[in-house]
Amino acid sequence: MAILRLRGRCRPLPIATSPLLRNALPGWRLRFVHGTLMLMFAAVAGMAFYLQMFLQSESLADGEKRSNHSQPLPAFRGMIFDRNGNLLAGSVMTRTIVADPLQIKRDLVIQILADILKQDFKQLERNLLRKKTFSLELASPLSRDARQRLIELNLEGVYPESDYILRIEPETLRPEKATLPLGNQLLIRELASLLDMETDNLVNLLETSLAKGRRGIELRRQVRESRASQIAELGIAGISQSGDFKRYYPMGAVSAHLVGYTGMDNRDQDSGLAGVEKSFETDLSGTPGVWKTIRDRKGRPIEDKGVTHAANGQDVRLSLDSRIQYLAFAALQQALSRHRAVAGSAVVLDAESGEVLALVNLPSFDPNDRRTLHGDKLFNRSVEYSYELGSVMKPFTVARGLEKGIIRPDTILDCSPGSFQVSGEAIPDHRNFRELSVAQVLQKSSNIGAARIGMAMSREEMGENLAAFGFGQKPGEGFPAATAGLVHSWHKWQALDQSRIAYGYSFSASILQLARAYLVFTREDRSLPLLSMLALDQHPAGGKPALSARTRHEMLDMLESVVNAPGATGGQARVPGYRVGGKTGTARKLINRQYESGRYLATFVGIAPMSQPRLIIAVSIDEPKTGKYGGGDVAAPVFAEIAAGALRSLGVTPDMPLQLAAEGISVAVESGETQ
Amino acid sequence: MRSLRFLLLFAAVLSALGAVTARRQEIRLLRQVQAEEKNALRLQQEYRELLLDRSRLGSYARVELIARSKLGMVVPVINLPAARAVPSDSPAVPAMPGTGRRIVAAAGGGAF
Repeated sequence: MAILRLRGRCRPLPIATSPLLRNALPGWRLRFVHGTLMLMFAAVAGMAFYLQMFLQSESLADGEKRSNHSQPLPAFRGMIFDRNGNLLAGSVMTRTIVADPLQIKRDLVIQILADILKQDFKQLERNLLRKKTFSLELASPLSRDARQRLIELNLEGVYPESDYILRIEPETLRPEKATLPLGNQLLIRELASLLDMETDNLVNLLETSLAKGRRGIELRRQVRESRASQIAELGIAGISQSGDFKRYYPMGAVSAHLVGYTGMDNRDQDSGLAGVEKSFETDLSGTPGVWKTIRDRKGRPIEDKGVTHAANGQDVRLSLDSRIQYLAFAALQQALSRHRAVAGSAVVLDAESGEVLALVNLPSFDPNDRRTLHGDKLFNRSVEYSYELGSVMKPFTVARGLEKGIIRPDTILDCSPGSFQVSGEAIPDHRNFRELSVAQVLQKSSNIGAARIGMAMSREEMGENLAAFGFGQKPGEGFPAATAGLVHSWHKWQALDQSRIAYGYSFSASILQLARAYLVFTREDRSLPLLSMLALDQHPAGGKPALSARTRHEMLDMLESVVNAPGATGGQARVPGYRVGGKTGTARKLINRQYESGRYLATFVGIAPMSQPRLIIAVSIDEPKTGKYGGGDVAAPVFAEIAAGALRSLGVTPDMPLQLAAEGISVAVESGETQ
Repeated sequence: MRSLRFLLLFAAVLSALGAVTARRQEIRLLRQVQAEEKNALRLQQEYRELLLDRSRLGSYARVELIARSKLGMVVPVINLPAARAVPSDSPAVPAMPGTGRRIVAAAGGGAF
């Protein structure tokens, strides 16, 4: 029996006799309450069962959405620097400015209305949002001017009940239908100015989108953060921002082909599409991270659910020297303009390491402006374009002849009568040189002389010679779409092919390959390394020597004579204060298997300075149209200009004593003495 | 026995307080780390923008333009025809016809 126990001295009282229970409740009430409670519990249990069994995933997702938060951690794409630490490409976070024309107009109208009616903007906006008709009590009667402005707004749903009271029907009042010339609004004008847009264009865009009912219009992408902050400070409702990245190229068109450019990939991330951006994509691309947290009602993080840190892309330090790059670009640009040429390329290599110090193509493009990223100007000619190089190949034929002991620099060759028949085809010189030494064959650029040397070798030797100088092979790593040129197997050569190859026809190569081949003459170990786009800490090994030391010296002397000897073709390549050497080339363009008359490719490859080679510079100019078309006239001066500037900027000591004849002053540059 | 109960109660309260404090500390540090992360990102951004500005302002094209247009500078012209080379230590190969040896037929089957 249940007993009610009381504290103290009171004796226990049986529950049945408790005075509290004396008036028993009617049984039906008890059952009713009991039943109702049971029903409610059953409903709750049923609902819980339904949610658990049938809406589990939705419920979970909904709950997670409210509390779980994933904060993206952006990763910067790696920067690209030149060898001196100058920035060539870098990414910054930018903003995309998005407009909701409807909200912009609505907000502006409410602002003007608040101004006319001398009301608080927030209060008025709240009242309008309630969508219930309300009466607005004015502190003072509307002035004539205010009435006029109200009329001009052409708003429906605003009715004066008296001088002091206005009835406003938010359902009828549709601010977006108001007559409001957006162009007159100061905020819109300021926005247009910050977006670098004409006010009229911006207004047109907003009005058109408004008429079409479009919302979320991208006004401008990739706006710098500082500018985006200014836009945010305008406080225009309906203007929102989202984050993205923009890649900048401070050197613009100057290094465009070498550095390349990026585009958005399917993950909406920047990915390299050309140049170094493409070839070093793996290094440059970063991996964004994410930070998962649980947030409270106010959106503050309260629990860490794990973080995947963002990994920025690695920076890349190129072998490029932006000073030389700019010099080459400026010199080539002038030459193209002077000779009205259609295109041109220049490559500057470190004569010992094979690092690419400059690589220029014209016409070029500005990678900062995506509108220019189309057409022929994207073509990286110096890397991707192979053509019959012409006479710049003669030194390789001569070098092999010297190496094989077939000739010496002073060997005399009969080049008369200015034409040489091979398999019924005439190999011409541009005049009858009669007899030329081997050195003179290079100085005068005699096709017959080179062909005779080539014919004195076997086809196999000639084929090996091309391979030894890297023709028919990729010039290096990190050059996307680099051509290996076209060199047929020597087994298939006819006698005519052999003779033509000796002076640079019947096979093709790019000027990058050509410049690389000259490394054999400039490197102390006479080997041929792969070219490098990256700055190297030490000189790369190039395998076995392609020439003997003696042949190398003889070749350097002969190449110098091409520039310095009287009547030689390379006279215009001379650089004041420096001994330079090189070889000119003038090739006819082969179009649809026909050599086009009047369309030439002028080439010059040079070495500077000759006492201790530091640079190899190859210049090619396509279709000069001002009458002069020879490599010596068109390309050699470009070489001279690049070499002069590059040697100065590298601090290379002049190695040629100069005698200023006009002033009768002899300057011994090397010793620094003036006589 | 009674003091043990109090001791356990005290330990339990202390432990609960510790847990709450640790939790608060965790939240505070989490917010701090997130703020620092944001700050680091802002500094990275600023560094990159400054690098870009430096490159843009110091670009050779801009320097040349200002040198030519505002400062009136010109590239000095050295008149090559007025300068002639003095024979250097390593002269070019003499290439006068008739001074070398003449080869009538050479190895490899070719004729000169």
